[in-house]
Amino acid sequence: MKKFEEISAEVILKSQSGRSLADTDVITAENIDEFMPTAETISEAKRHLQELGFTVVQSGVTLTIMGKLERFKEVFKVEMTLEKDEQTGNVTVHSEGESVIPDSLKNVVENVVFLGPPELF
Amino acid sequence: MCTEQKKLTLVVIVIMHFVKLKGGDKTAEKEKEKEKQEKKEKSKSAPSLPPIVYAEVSVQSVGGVSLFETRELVTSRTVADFFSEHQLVKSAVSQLRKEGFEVLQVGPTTITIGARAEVYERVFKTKIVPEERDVIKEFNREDTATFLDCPDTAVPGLIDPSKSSLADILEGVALNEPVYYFASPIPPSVGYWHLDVPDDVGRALNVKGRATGRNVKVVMVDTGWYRHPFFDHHGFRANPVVLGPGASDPDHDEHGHGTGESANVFAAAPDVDFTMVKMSFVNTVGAFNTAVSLRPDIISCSWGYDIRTGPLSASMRTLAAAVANAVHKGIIVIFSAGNGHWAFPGQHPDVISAGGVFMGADGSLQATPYASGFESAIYPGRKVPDVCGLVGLPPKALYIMLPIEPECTIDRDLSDGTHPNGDETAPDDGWAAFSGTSAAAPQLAGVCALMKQVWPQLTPAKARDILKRTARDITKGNCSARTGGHPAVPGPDLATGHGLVDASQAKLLTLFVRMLSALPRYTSKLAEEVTKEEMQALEDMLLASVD
Repeated sequence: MKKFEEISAEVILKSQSGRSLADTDVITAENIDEFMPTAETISEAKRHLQELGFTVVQSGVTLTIMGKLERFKEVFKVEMTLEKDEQTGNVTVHSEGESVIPDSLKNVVENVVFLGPPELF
Repeated sequence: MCTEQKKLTLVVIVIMHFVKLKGGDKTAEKEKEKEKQEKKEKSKSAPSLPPIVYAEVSVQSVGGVSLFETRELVTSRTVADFFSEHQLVKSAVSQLRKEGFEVLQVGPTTITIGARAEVYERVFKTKIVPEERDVIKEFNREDTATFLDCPDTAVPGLIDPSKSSLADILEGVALNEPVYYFASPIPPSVGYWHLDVPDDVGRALNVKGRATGRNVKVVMVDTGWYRHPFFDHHGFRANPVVLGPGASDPDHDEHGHGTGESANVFAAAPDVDFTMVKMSFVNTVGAFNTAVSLRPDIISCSWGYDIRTGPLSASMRTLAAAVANAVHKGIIVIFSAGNGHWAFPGQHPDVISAGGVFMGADGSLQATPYASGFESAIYPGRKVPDVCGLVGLPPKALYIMLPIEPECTIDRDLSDGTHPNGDETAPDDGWAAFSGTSAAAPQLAGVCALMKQVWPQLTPAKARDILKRTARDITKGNCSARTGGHPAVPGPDLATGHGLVDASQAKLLTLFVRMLSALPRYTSKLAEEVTKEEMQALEDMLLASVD
């Protein structure tokens, strides 16, 4: 892995309603408001994540962050390995076990998840 | 008012609208002519600076020698010497943004930036000068091109950052030079039945009439977009590629999938305002949300995950939330139904799910066993697909001849063997025959763009409803055996949903619904009562009235 090659993750924030993305599979345009974090939660989460050495690159219902593999391991106490597809150059993140949310983020962050590569149809 | 009177009123309203459209088109033609004239005049005058200047910024190299001063060749053996410390790169990105540059990409050796020339001149205390130089463009065409230079350095196109606030971090800024593309804009000739873009695909989708997708913003999230000469040749325009998280190299589509499938959008809607978000494959949610942040009318995605049953993983729920949020904002979101996959988000309740219909050489239509068709086990009652685009037959669905970056993965991979196992094109010609429900999604996006042009307030739910109500019913063939091999039968079914989209009919019904929505005393219920035959009769009357 090159020295500043970074990986990406989605940060699930605590919602204003108290409803969690973990509660249901049915997350649609009709009920998406129930899963929305407040502007204050978003801004506080961004600030803490940046202080922890991550870059927040995109913001939707969840936050997209980027950082070094070692930083993710250190902050979220999660065992991770990277698998690189030599043909496509795509890097897949394999994480084992649940991420542990550090105290500074516990009020605003619910979970941190890594996505696998999609299939092209 | 009796039903006949209502229909007559509708016809009058629609005729008035068409007459207005006709007048509008004349104005558009005049404007086009004026634009052409202005362009002609402009080309005769002195070279001018482009609206946005792009450049590669090199942060201080770890090897201690600048990328722009080294006497060594930069090769795979020596390139590590020109990498930079992570903290320094981060600091450079932050300062560049603060100074007003847009940071487009952070690569291993350089950072790609864009800004108006004045920003460069202010920050680096220099002058950027345009120069017209002789070049050879595509097909050995001799021409000139505008190069940018900075007169106070000896190296052409190099800006010296030593007089700027970034002097301690940067070793140089290289202005981008014009690039020419060498693939042929004309597809190669092959001996098997296939469709060409844009004409064959447009005809099969029944694209006709005056709507072209003008001013409708369509974003695709895919492997990237290469400025293949095919697009210029047909006058199709695209905005600069936007990079999703972790993606790099905005000028290239190393895989080819995004470039090729994008041609399907233009086949239906040639004047669409198109942008590709290049995704890195490490984070589809981040790439999708990048598309949402561009505030498009339509997002088309030709990818997904194979998920047969719930519960969804936490990461898939973040993707579901991103899709739901986009549709909640009024964006029409289209996903492929899968090629034998139980596609997710292709089965999400908010998306328009794109399946596959094959059109034979004789014009016959059938469900293709290459495409998925199923009832979702995650979302009760959700049937996939909603409607279909054009997709080839197994084993590989090598069906639509599409432009791609020469020597990309698809160009190389499909060139081996004869049809139907290979596409019989060269591995480096920038063309390949492929499809899948990946082709269907952008075809539907193009049709939605036509509808959106006719009615800018069209909602995602109404767009799906109109596509379903106007699709051509498919009664032959089966969908993929992997998802149950369901047969196509008269009426909606799991093989093709409501059938093959019909661009012309969808546009017409959109127009009706728009008219009705503008008249408070009517309800959309009335439009639902209009049958296909009645619409055809109305269309015939309309065409007769404007001819």
